Amino acid sequence: MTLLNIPGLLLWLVLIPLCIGLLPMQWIPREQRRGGVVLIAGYLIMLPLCWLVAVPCILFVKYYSFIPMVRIYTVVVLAAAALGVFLAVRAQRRGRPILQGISFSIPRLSWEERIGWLVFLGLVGLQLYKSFTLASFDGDDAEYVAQSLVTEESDTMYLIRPYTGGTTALDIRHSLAVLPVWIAYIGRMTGVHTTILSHSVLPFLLIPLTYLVYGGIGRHLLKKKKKYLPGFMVLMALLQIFGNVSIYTGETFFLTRTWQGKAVAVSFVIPMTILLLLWIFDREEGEKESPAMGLWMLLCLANMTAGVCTSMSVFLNAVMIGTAAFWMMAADRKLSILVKAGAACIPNAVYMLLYLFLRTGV
Amino acid sequence: MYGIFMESVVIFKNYTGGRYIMALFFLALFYLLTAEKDRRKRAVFVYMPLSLLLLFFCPLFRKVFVRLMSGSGDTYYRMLWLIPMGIVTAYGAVKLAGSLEERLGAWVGRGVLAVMAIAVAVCGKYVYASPYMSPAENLYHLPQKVIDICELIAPEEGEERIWAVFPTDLVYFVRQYDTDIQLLYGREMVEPKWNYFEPVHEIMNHPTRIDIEELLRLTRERYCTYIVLPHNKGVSAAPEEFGLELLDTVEGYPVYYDPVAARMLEEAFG
Repeated sequence: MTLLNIPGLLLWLVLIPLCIGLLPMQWIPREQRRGGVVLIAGYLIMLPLCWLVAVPCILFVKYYSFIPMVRIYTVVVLAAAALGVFLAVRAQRRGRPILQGISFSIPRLSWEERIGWLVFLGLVGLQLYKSFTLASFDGDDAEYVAQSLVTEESDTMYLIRPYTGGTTALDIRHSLAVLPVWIAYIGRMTGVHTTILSHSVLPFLLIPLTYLVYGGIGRHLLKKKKKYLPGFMVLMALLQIFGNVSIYTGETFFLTRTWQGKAVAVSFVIPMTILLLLWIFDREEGEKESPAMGLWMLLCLANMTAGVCTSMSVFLNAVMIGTAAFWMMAADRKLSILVKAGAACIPNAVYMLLYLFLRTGV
Repeated sequence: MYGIFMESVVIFKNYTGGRYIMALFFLALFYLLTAEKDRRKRAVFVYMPLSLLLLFFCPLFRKVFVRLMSGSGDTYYRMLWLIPMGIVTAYGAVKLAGSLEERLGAWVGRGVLAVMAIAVAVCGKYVYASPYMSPAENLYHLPQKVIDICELIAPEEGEERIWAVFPTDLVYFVRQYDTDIQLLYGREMVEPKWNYFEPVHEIMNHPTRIDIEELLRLTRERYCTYIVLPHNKGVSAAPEEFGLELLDTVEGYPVYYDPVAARMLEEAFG
């Protein structure tokens, strides 16, 4: 990897997701339309699109399935990005900009808040620095990271054992969780070795992305007490850094296996699902003039993103959504919440049925 | 059912690692139970976590989970990922700080946050002190010796892939660097908990001594042309006696080329 790869990485990991993220903006409430949310929405669309393209290629293309995947996905992703830009420009011309005005001036903050934000940024900086300068040993990398490299170097998906290189029948257990394929795709488009991409580059995307989600949750919880937001974020960052109480915690996965599907599921998808639930439940409360449909759509996409990460998180996300929706239904006495939450989990049901079908060959 | 419940208790204990950070979560949870008046926030940050905890300890749920996950119960701890422990802990602390600040003054609120930050550091465990972390030797975050060995044996562009044998401690990394190097055994054979058997691995994994004759009998059967021996074990005989050529020794690991296997490969496949 050289400095020449950096523009490509910025294009594929930041600019294109940002353009794609513009797509659902006009269907979500105005106060949630921020730059960070656009980037998050971009990934919530880009990753499920990868699933929708990669899985049929895996199942139906016998040899060199990665080649058609790359071609089709490139067209789909570029079309989605172009459509996102088109919608944003059209809305702007009609005098209804889909983003809140972005201000580059530093907001008026008390000295206490400024110190809080500085401490928080320092803690995130520490995590990024450590992710670059420390190598974390994890046996699962022999599967996940090698899978990306096998895909990129052999142009086949899930037909070669990542551990040894021997050929195998289609690896059903892993083939529906296509995050390694997405990493292989980014490696192919940017020319960066997929192992460098996983270990040295992706933490610079995934760690800030996770804190964008936590920031959204904090902003929502502390709507009326914004001055506590830096304190909340500092505590969140500390909880990640000191959360390595066992090898099983989400915090350990987040900072030691950042690039693996399981880690993305626990640190990005599950908190994002919680944030979407908070937004949705607020909308359902009665502010009907603001659209909630886009939020439900994003929830569906979060469920699909869970499937990109690991098969298990599809089930886990459904359990969490069901539990939260049940309590919201009880709190608001509105059965419709449970029904809509059930509808948002249809992708999970389809995924699980496909998984069972492929595993058992029913 | 009681046995299944106790298994869940053990999983929970292992998850918490015997540290008190979980106590901070429970304190925050019970504080929010009494102090949070917004019913939507209570639903997501009090009732949902409590329900998920109940579900986690429910033997029936565990049975369903294990059945759905094709009989594997090792990953049941991931149910605990659904409980937003970090968010609840941070939100509970911030809410308490805000409440005390209103009643007793700004410095009390600040003090609560500072105490909480210290408590997190004391009750938790610093992730970067983990024994699994080490200074990165390159952008790949792989041991440099593995990269050096791979560079030594990897086929040139356009050449056929090769088969190689690596010592147990290196097999994890080889194919993260170059997938043109195929391994006679990989990580799946190395993990003791999976309990797989692989004859070449049995020889290479002998605690003190590698039986070279037996090793070569097996590797030549499978046209394996490169053998990397462990740096800390003896050998039954000098590998050169059996026709192996020492290419180099990388950080103590002798890297051999086997011309006999290469000739057999050539004869078999042209």
